[in-house]
Amino acid sequence: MVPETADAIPDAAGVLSGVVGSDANTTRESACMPAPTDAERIDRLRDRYQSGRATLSVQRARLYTESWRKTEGEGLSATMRVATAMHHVYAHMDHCVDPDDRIAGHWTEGFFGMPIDIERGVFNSVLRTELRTRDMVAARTKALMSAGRYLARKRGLKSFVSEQRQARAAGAAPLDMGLKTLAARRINPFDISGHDRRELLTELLPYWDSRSLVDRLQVELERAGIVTQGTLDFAMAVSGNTSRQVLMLSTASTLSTIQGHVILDYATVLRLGLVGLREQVRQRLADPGLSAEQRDTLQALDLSLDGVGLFSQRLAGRIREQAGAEPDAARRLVLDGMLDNCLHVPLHPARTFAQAVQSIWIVKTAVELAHPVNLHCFGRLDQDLYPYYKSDLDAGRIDPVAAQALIEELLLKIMSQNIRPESNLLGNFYHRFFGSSPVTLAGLRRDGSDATNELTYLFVRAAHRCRAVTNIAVRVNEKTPEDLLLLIAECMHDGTSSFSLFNDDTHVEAMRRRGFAEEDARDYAIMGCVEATCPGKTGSMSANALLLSRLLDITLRNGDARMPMGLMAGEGMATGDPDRFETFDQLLEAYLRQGRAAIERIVNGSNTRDRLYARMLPAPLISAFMDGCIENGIDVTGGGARYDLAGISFVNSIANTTDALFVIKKLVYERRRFTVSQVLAAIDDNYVGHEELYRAIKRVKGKWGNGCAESDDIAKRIMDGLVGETYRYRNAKDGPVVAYAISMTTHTIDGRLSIASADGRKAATPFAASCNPYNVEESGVTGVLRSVASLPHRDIMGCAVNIRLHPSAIGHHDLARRKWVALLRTYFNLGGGQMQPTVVDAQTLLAAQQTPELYKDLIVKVGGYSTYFVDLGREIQDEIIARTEHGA
Amino acid sequence: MAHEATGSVGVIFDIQRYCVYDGPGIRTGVFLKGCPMRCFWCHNPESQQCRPQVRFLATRCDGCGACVERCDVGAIRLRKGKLLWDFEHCNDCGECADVCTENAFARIGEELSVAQTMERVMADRDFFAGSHGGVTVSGGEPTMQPEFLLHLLRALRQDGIHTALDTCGHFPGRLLPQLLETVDLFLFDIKHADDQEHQRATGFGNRRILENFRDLLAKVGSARVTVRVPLVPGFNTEPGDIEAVIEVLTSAGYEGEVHLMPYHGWAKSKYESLGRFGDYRDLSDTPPADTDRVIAQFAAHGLETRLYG
Repeated sequence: MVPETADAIPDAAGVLSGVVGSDANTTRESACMPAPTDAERIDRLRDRYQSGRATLSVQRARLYTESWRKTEGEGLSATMRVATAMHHVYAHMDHCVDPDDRIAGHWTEGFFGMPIDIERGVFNSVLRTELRTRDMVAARTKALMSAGRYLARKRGLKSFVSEQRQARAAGAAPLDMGLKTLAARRINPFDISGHDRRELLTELLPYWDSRSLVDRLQVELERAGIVTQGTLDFAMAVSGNTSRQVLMLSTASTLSTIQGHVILDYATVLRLGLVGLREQVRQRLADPGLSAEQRDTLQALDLSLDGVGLFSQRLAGRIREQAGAEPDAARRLVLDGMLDNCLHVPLHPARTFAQAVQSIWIVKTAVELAHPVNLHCFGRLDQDLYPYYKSDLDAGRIDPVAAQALIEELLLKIMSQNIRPESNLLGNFYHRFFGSSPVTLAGLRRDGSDATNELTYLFVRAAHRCRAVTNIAVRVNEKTPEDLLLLIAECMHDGTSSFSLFNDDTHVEAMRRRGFAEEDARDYAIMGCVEATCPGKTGSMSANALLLSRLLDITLRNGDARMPMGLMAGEGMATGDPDRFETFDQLLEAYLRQGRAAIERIVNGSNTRDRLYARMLPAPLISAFMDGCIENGIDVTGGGARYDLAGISFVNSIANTTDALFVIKKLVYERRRFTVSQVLAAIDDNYVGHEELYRAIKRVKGKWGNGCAESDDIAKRIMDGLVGETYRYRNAKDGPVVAYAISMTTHTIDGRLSIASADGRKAATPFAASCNPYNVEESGVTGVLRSVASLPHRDIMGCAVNIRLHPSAIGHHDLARRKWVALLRTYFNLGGGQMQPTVVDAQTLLAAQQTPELYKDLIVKVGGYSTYFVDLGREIQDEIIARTEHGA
Repeated sequence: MAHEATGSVGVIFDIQRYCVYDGPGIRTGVFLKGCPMRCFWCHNPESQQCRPQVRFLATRCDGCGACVERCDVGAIRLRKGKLLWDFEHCNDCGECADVCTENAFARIGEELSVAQTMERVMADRDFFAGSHGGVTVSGGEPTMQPEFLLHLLRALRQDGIHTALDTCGHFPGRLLPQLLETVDLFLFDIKHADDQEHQRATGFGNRRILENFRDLLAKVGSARVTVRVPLVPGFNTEPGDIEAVIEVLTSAGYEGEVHLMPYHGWAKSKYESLGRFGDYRDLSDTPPADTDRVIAQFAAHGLETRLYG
């Protein structure tokens, strides 16, 4: 056997990897460094975001409300009212031109801010109660009193309080951050001027009270009986939770309230400009066969395009003002350059790479302003921007260094528009910036050939250097160049954890199975955290959630649900007393029946939400940039796009639920050592006083995530059953209801607000995240991947598999990194859908020291010695931390 | 592929997946318990004793006391919520590990048949195939269980799995022919050229090791051998020591890569977990400058090196 050299190892496909387009830019040279001043500027930008404070801007809310009030009773359609309101915003908002900008355009009048989508009302309750201390005190008192009454009724205040104390002592995060206002709180603070706050509280919010979409949605859900009575009681009683991003339908099912994630058709606006799009609209309007509604929709689209144009022209005007008053020649040059671009795009087709970037940024910002944090994601930027990059390169107008600097700025700016003023109650479970507006790279072209190009590499290097949290979703297939994956491994080894890797095989197939045409399936991009979609052709997708462990709890209690606040009778279906079942299969079947009922509830809620959006808040701003809407003359909320999705995320969690069922199978149905009632009694006591049962549960070997066939089979049966059920439904926009397995941060929140579970998980502790295992035994990362790969990924449109790796486990040198690439490819070949490695840094290791039970799976691997970090003595851990900081 | 009961049982203390520094590709490491040597820098003290043992990790103990009741020889006491383990009186029966839910007490070393070992190892066959990897048998010193070792290697070969053997080289010469038939790659430790220094540091001289090395190289050449040199400060990192090792390699005709393993002081907790508080030698890490110099020395003689760790 020849000792291995770097060249001798072919990749898994057995082909020595080549790189598409073999010029120097595509090889794995060391990270491209922007010019010193650019690098400084980018680092400063990042620093300003990371250490700066966001300001709540009232301007958009004020202007929108102004217009909305004015158009009341004028007989305009909802879509015209929306288009008119946004036009009014674009016509009057102030623009910020920051000295660190080379890409112009912000969504508020300040450098770092957050507009308020007051008409949707997602955060209205937060703003009503958490801007002023006295409002917080009043709201909190009221909430405590009604919660107290609820608890007294349900199960006794004393035991609840003592349980919460126990949980806190065991390290559970506090349920809220006290009485700190949005401005005073430590995590994710928001400043607001006194004047703006007054206006919000005394004029704007009162107008939208019970008028906002979320307010009306709650009424409709209640009226339609889609929310369980128990949940209604609970929601009324526990009014301290002002968050409305998610509404609870039952203890095991939730609804998302945003209109949904979407990727606009950037390629077309780059190609045609706004003028070209407006021309398309005008041509459609000339058709005499249009219905009145279609005509109205198209007119709203025209007004919207005009609005975005106005946005960019006024931005250009602001730049011109500044340039005129600028004494410094160098700075004036910069301003003139930006002015030039903004005068041209997005009104007209882009001519250069810089204009292309500027164009998509303005469109995205203007549209995001219309529905903040819908998440408007960028899609396949290495494909969309490539023609402009290539022609600039050929003409000598740009070099890779300058292009990378622009991309770095773009990634940071994307990050700055993914923040939200979440309520204090959830503050400890949130953070400020979300990476969930990803850029998708590589993958397949529509014709099936590999899509990797020079820009792909540039984006990877840019992500690594600028360290924005913006996710980089890399599509991987057997033709993906080894070099690209090795570059990513290198970046990960050096500390960047924003890469997610997606299996083209499983995702393209999943798209096909949900009705996407072959070429559109190949063209998939990622939006939100991990959700696949056809960019530019798919209407917004709002993911709801089915909480798997709570669903099991309801099944075990024959339809009742137990929460920390007490027992909620009849929360689900009566599926039978598990102690009367003779076999485990009967329990599993009962669980699936319970699940099918929950899915029906969720679909009804989701369709109710989508219909309300179509009625009350159509989205002409999205429709103007969505393939199909102009042609059909139908708004995206009415199903005008070529495709449309609604989604259910099966979370919280696959691992805990599988393990619980596995344990019950072994201990109750096979060995007959305990009854389900005994298990429930132990759960209700958080295992205190039930040590024998707890020990028995812990000792059951072969739990999920270790590549054991029996538990893998249970996980597969659960997911097949539930995911399979979604194929039966259509959404309100006549598209499919698809399945996901992504928990975001909800596994911590839901875990905090849940009792113990039968797998041995204690009350108030997090569930496993997304597709991660909970009880990792000795099988290490290969066991995890084998188990995860056996889930039905071809029926899931997005999942997250978070693997924590110390840099040494990715590899200190090329040879070792090729093995990581081989690991990834083998996992994908086994059917795994996704992998997002978190590279452990010193901070993570410090956290692991504090809460080792959350880091049981963290492997630190060096040379011939590898171990779980949490098993090491303190001093050794300190040493590794120090070592890790220096990139060892 | 089924493997008949060979009547051969081995004591294994670890099976590690996704090993990337133990031979080509992704490998699973099978670690056999038992080693004749007692190298003073040993990172895996739990590998030294042949028979199964118990280890205790205080950080995982939640003070439930279930083990106290179970222990037949009274080697465990609970005092003020803190667990005290009297390892002198411990008989390594492992009952405490059986009741411990937190994995604070755990058994180290399990008796497994070849078939059982193969079942665990072959679960990752797809990862071997996708990376041209395989299985590395290590330890302890795997040749201390020669019957089990050979049966295991044959079973792996039968299933088309690439085999690597990580050995200190101290085994009877008559084992070599059978190893040659069953091992694709030898990972061979060369610690020190001087017999007496070697004895002082490990408990054994190096004559048999060097004999085996020369024999091996003569029979299969550098293609199937990779030399590994641990860099232990105060023992073998002086320029003279390294030159002597280089001389051993070059005179035997070795032309392959030399894998260097700089020392890291990470094993202290392992010793403590076995109750061997006095045995851990607190050495400083190998200074990077020394490692660089060693690399240069090898390079000067045309020998390429690779750093692990």
